[in-house]
Amino acid sequence: MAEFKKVLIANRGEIALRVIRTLREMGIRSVAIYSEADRSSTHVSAADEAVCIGPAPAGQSYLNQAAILSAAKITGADAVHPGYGFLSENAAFSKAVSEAGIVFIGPPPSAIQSLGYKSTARELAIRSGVPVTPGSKGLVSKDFEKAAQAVGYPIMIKAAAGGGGKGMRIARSEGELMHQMHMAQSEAKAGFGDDSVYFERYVERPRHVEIQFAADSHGNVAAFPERDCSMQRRHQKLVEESPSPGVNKALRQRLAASAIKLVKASGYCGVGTVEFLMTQEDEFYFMEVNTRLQVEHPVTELVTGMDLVREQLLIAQGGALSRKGESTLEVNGHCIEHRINAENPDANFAPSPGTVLSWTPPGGPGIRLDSHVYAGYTIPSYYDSLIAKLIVWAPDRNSALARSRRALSEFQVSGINTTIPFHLKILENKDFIAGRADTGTLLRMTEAPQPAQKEAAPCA
Amino acid sequence: MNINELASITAWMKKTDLTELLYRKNGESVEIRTEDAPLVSNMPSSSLSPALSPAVGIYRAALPGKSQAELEGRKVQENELLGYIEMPGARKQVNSPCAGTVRVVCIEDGKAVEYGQPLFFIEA
Repeated sequence: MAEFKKVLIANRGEIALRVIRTLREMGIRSVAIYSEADRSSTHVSAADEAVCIGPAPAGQSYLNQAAILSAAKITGADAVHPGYGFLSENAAFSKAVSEAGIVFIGPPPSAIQSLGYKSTARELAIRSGVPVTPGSKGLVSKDFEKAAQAVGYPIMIKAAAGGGGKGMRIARSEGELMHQMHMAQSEAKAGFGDDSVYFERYVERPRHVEIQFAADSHGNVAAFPERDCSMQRRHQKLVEESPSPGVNKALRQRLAASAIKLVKASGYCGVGTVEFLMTQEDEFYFMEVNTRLQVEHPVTELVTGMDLVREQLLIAQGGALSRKGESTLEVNGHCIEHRINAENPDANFAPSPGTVLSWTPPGGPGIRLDSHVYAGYTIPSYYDSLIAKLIVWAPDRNSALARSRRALSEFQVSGINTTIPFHLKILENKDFIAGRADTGTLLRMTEAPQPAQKEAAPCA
Repeated sequence: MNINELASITAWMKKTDLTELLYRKNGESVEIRTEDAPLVSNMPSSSLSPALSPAVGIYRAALPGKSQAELEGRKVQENELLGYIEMPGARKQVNSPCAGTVRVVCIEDGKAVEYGQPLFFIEA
């Protein structure tokens, strides 16, 4: 396959800018697309070309497949990079791009369907000998009460087409099952237009650990050191780190071997992530595969020295991975990522769009800031609230924690509310400092000081 | 005029779509502008209305095999067809925003356009 001359980025914000940066380093021309609300965004000015594709609502712009394809056609792009979110895991879009004679920088539609659809991915994991949590055999139907008994409580009800924590409900006993089942199905129907659900045993106080991998079309699969994303609020990750404080070298090798087995069984090509739930006893269960570049990919980049976007481009051009074999599991130092959102942590994380009056980013040793924001930029209210990823590297975890504190206190933003003060609080959390955080740590941390403000829907 | 009075004025103003307000009372006056207020409020008014591209794609003056007469100077009705935008698997119409005369043509047949790009200016 020929080398790309021009790539269109079907995304916005920091990730579009992230992709443009690698394209520029590789000497490939970039095409940004934007909605009317993003005319003054940095990804538009950073690209070699930019095309307005529609009005502000995502359904008419960043999710408008015909408009994006049309933009790729008129600009003569030979490939489309979907970023994360929006159309990045949409098999129909991947297919439409390929049929238009343009390369989709991501897995083929068949791989999105087999690995990206949770119930089929789970079946594939079982077949390839990757440990999974006890759960229902595929989707549950009318006899769901019997299926629940077989799995055993507590039970997690999950939407087959779900993601990002949407369409998930916990039933702790038989008495709760009917109500939670109804809630999960209506959320799934509303969120994904598909009310299919399945059951999994709910693991108490688990860690969220994931393996980044890359697979090329020559049969090479490389696994990279794990990322620990246990610091989540309602299934939305806020802090990610690598390596995980709960994973040693032997466990890392077992995690990587499981991920590689699954990827090889699926015939996947591209970069992706296998997510595992790790119990307090160091057992791990396969959760799901993300068939895209993830928000937290820089964490892996800083401990391995890789550029994962570059790997994606090499793979999509038909080339081989730049690194293969056991050496890809070697960890250099420690990395922590803080997702900075335009939200008010004191008002239940309500979005805080508006104009950024001043913007003083941190710098100095070991700091990487991926952000599209600048002083005077107006954060639109139409899209998600991520405004920056502060990625901190240091030789060891304690130095990384100190560096995070230093960088977050340097980071000054006015005009909008941000989660910067909340990240400073996380760095005071005893469980996080000790490296024993689980996926419930953040919720306990936010609920503890305000027992009167009960969350309306703790599992949403 | 005290701070409470100012606060109630601005709170009320937020509920409206006003962007500029001049308030006078007992010889005092205060001028309030929201961030949506135009920087220059006395913009020259134009009698030309733009016909904007409804989509990103290729502009076609007429359907394949047909021809479209010269548009410049033509009298048009509101919503009159001025051409098409071709997209993969779809075709969208470009219509006149008002009745009047086509004064400016900014597009040629077969050229790429983006969403919201002015294609014609119509004089009402």
